[in-house]
Amino acid sequence: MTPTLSSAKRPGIGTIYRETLRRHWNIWATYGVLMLLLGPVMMTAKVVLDPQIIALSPRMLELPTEIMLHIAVLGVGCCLPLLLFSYLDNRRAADLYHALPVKRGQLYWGKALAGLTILLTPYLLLGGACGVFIFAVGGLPDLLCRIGQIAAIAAALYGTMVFIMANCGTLFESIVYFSITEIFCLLFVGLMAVTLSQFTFGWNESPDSGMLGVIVGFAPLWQLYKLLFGRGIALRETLQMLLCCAAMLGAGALLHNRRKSESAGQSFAFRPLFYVEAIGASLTVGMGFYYIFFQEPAGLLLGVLAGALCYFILDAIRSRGFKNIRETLGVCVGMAAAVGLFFGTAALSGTFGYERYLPPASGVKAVSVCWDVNSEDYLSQAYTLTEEEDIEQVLVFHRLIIENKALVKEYNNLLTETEDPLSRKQAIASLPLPEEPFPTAAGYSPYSLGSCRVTLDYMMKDGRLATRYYTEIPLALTAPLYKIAAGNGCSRAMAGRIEMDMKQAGRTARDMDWTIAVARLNNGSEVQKGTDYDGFVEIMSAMAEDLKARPAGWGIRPEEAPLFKLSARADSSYSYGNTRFNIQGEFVYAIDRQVLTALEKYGLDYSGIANNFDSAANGFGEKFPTIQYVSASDYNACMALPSARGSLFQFGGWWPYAFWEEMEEAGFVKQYAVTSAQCEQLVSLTFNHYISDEPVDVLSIGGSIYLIPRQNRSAVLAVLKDAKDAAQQADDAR
Amino acid sequence: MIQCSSLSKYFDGVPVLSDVTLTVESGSIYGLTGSNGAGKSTLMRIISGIYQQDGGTVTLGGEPVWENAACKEKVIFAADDPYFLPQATLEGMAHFYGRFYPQFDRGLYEMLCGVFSLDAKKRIHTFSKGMQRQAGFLLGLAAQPRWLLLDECFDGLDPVKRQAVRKILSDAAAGRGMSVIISSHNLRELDEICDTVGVLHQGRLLCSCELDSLKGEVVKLQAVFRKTVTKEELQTALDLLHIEQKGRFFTMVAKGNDEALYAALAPFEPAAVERFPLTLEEIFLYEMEVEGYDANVIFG
Repeated sequence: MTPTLSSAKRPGIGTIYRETLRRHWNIWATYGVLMLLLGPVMMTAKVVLDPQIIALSPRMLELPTEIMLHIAVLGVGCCLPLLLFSYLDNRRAADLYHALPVKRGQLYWGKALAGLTILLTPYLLLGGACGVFIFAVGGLPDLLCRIGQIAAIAAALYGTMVFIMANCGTLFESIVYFSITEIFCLLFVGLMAVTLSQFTFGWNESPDSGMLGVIVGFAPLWQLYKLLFGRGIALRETLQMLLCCAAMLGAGALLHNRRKSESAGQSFAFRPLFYVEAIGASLTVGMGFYYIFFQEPAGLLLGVLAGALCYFILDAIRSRGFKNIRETLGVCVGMAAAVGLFFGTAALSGTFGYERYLPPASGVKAVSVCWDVNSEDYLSQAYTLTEEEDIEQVLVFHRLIIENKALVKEYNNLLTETEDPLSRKQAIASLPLPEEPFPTAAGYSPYSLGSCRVTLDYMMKDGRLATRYYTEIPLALTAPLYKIAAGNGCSRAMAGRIEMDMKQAGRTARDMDWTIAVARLNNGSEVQKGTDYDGFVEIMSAMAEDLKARPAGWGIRPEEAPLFKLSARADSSYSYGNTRFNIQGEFVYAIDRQVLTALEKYGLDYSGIANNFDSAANGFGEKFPTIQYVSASDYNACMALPSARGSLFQFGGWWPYAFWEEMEEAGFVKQYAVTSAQCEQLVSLTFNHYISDEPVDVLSIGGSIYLIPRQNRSAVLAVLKDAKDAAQQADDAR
Repeated sequence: MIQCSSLSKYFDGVPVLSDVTLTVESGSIYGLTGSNGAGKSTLMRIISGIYQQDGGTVTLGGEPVWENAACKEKVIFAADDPYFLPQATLEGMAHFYGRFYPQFDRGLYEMLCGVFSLDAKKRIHTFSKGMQRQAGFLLGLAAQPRWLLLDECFDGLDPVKRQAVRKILSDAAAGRGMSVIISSHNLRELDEICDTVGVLHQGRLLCSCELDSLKGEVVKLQAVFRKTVTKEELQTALDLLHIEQKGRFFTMVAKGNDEALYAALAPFEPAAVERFPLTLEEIFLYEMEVEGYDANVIFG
């Protein structure tokens, strides 16, 4: 008898690869068809439907399509390895495959590559189809990037699951430890960040920055979440996903080739990895319990117990019963000791030198400072400083924070732990002062100014990023920042920011409809004008040029009062929500001739907006409101200082020593009934915006704050005296 | 030729095979028997390259089998509970084997399908356990291995199929020098087909020799002595596997050839000695008894 199916070539990786594809062609075909059906829906939603023509929002189609795509990623990426490597869970199947005349490595790679082919081929087809569609019809190239990003995430999930399969003995264990790897590791990193931020001075807990960003960049689920609900993922993160896939498949190959056939169906093939996974999960659970439920000593005990219980459960699953009680107890005690040692050492060493690190001035290319008092979205508001003297000044400020760590900590403790406001105020006022505190009125503590969050982002010349984030830094420490306002680096930084925004807009919002708006300084009411992308570019370019031409320190002095705030925004409902474009309001002064000319050219009438009196009088008719006056020389008075609402350089506004209501109760708010003429006179003597290095009196007219410069103080008081006298005469007459 | 030398294997630190040394010549059919859990299946998995031994060496045709694709092409292990790809038909499995075993003989496969009356188009999971075993056996045989390892291959087969299997194996062994190792508890079956046997107990190979030689060396003797003789005296004089005494009448199972045994009994003045041949099953039972593994011990 002659062999009829024999092959001259010895079976190897190709044989396994082809055999695997042949066996799973039905899954391959179903998945591929599903993806190719979803693709056109997504393309139609993104490209064809125009929200201005029909009422149906493409987002309504787009979101479900994307969610389905993501589910496909999760489902196929995770389940495919369960199918391909299920023989590792079945002793009889393992006998069949391991008896085949191929090496273990060939068996593994043949199957792993076949799985990748099944997983990624539909993406390639979808990407190709989208490419052709976009070439033919036009549309958004980011769709192609997005498909690539989803494919990279799918590959990372697939690689991780293959690695877990090579390590675990059963499908049940594989699913459990895949969940631990994907979810608990992410939680572990997050909780570690929160834990470190609890006692590490300056720790930056943003998951997108620094080392933490790199670490979580390897977490496919985090990237999937960002892709679906966040700002999308960067090229670095996409490459990280591919690296994750390659590394996991490589590590899986090592485990698979060393794995004993007899371990099929047993709980764990490689015990060391069990310890890594179980200890990681237990620490995560422990930290989670500690932070979710309590932050008191009782919470610590609960965390320890929850962590130990988690380890007991995982060990019981592995050993199919409580067979290793002694070892488990030992591991739990070891974990507690190791955690104690780590955090003890970190506390003593300032988190291994992290707290005292100050970048060398010569190595800093640029620095972005966000000095945020109220705004939550501070990261999107900061400007980037590149002038040497500005960087040096930021470093002085940073050094001041580091050297006053104990003071800041004490200040924070008093803020959070002292419940009675008066006691708190007195305790804080008694704190030692830094070398050059921000000036306050005689007799008043600089700590009365309050506090702010500070984020410093250093971009180093070697490409590194260093970020420090400080909560509740007393404003008393911010004196060095005032000096930055006196230079012209801030104007250039603002111009740079606008130019950068325009570049980004050119990539993502060129086809959108733009709105240019100018807003009053005090109540925010605005006048708008619609334009196209070219109009937006012309106006904002003029703004950038004006900013570059401003004299150093412009905007500090009261006589350099801005006219209004200029902003620009683009709306398009067929883009992703996060690409809606918005350039924050910038102060425009009378010297900014280019932008004013551009606004006039596009027919935007700003004359009414620039009139403060109209705003103050608006809504009151003939009856003018009661004006409130607070003197800087009174206790609890107000002062103007660079409050940096929204960004470091949007100086303006005011900062009270106490809440307005509190001042009213104390009787420091004096009220006057004024006439229309007096109100107009008062408005002409005051300013909505300037920067003062000393406390100033303020007026409150119709809920808006007007700063009274020192040179106008007597004139304002004279008007108020006239108002008071007139009111007295009226009372006497009655 | 299959050669195992000082083979050892541990599962979670527990020895499953200890110092196992055996040789199976080309064209030989080797019967492997032993108590349950003795390590027979483990030994066969090591020989077929599925498991890696922890100590010792295994060579097939002079080459180590572990991670040796060229060697594994020529060895087939047919498990007692064979695994087939999910939803696969016999035809599909034949294609699968054909892709991995270059010598797979399609003609032989079709012939065997006819012999075993198996429907090649039917899904294997619908087969009975016996039919699945036949399917595993015929696929293995059609791959034309040089070394065939059969684990409990006769269980579940009707007498006609058994006869067919015996004939096919004998023909393949004699015709193309295929070495076969058959693991079974059915000692009568092994008695009929094997030329060499090995007995495994608790991971150790108690004996491994040609069947004829084994039968010649272990005999059952019934003797009556003129003088008073004790069991202890006889046990000292002879290599006994078993001895029973009823008055002056002794029944013994002893190792050795006839001349040596008669010479050893002569000093006790035997009045009459009768020699009976033993079946393989009886030899196995007596060997196990020596190792403390017999029904009396099991039931206390």
